[in-house]
Amino acid sequence: MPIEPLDTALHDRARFQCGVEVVDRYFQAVARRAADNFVAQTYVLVPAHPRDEPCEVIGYYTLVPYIYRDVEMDEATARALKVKSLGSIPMVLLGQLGVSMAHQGKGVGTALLRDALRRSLYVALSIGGVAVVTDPVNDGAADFYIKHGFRPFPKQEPRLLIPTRAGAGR
Amino acid sequence: MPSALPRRDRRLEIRLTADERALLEHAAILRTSGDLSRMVSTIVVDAARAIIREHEIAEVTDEVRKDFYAALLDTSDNPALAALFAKPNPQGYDF
Repeated sequence: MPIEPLDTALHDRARFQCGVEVVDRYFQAVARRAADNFVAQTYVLVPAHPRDEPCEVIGYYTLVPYIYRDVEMDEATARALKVKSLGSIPMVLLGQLGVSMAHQGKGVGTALLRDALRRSLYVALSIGGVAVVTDPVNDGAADFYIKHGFRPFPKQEPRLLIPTRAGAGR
Repeated sequence: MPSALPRRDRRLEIRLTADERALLEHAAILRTSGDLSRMVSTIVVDAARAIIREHEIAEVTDEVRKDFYAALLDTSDNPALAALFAKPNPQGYDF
């Protein structure tokens, strides 16, 4: 089954329901425009060919470039973090992740998370990125991310993170 | 020569209570000569820009700096992440 960038001609947004309204609404109403405007990219897990067009979406996730700024950053910290520009700390934000209700409870979310992290880490290690962060939509989502290696970002609650170096080589 | 202002030709529908609608109309009389659309669009667009600034770019403040860098430079083992990457895809979802 392919995971591919959202294409509204090929992927049926309207039928997608994961049971969390904000995650459904983002996918149906915002995801495509965000990609068109280079704000965020959404990837969908869809059935293998041959398939209907537009086809069912089994699950999706969205990646967003994200930056922290620190005007006080010193050069030693910049070197330790391997950031390219002093004071600017690039990250990848895992903005959304949802699995269609018909496919929940089978490990699809875990597999999507693995794919999202692989893609994020590849980007982060290729062009500079210090961490993958996410803001869980509810307690259940927070438990899910923590179970798979995210850690609380101190004083940024409810934000969670995986430092890029923790995932290097995966 | 100055370029023409971008045309506001996209519609946005929002649902309000009668009281909220009356409130907006009152504010529009004071701010934009009663032009409700211009008032709402101007204020909402400004608010949206501020939200994006706040959410896409975060500042590292003095209060969080020490913990912030400690978390980013944490090199301790992460067995949960290792297990996630070691897991096979679920049956029937080969990708």
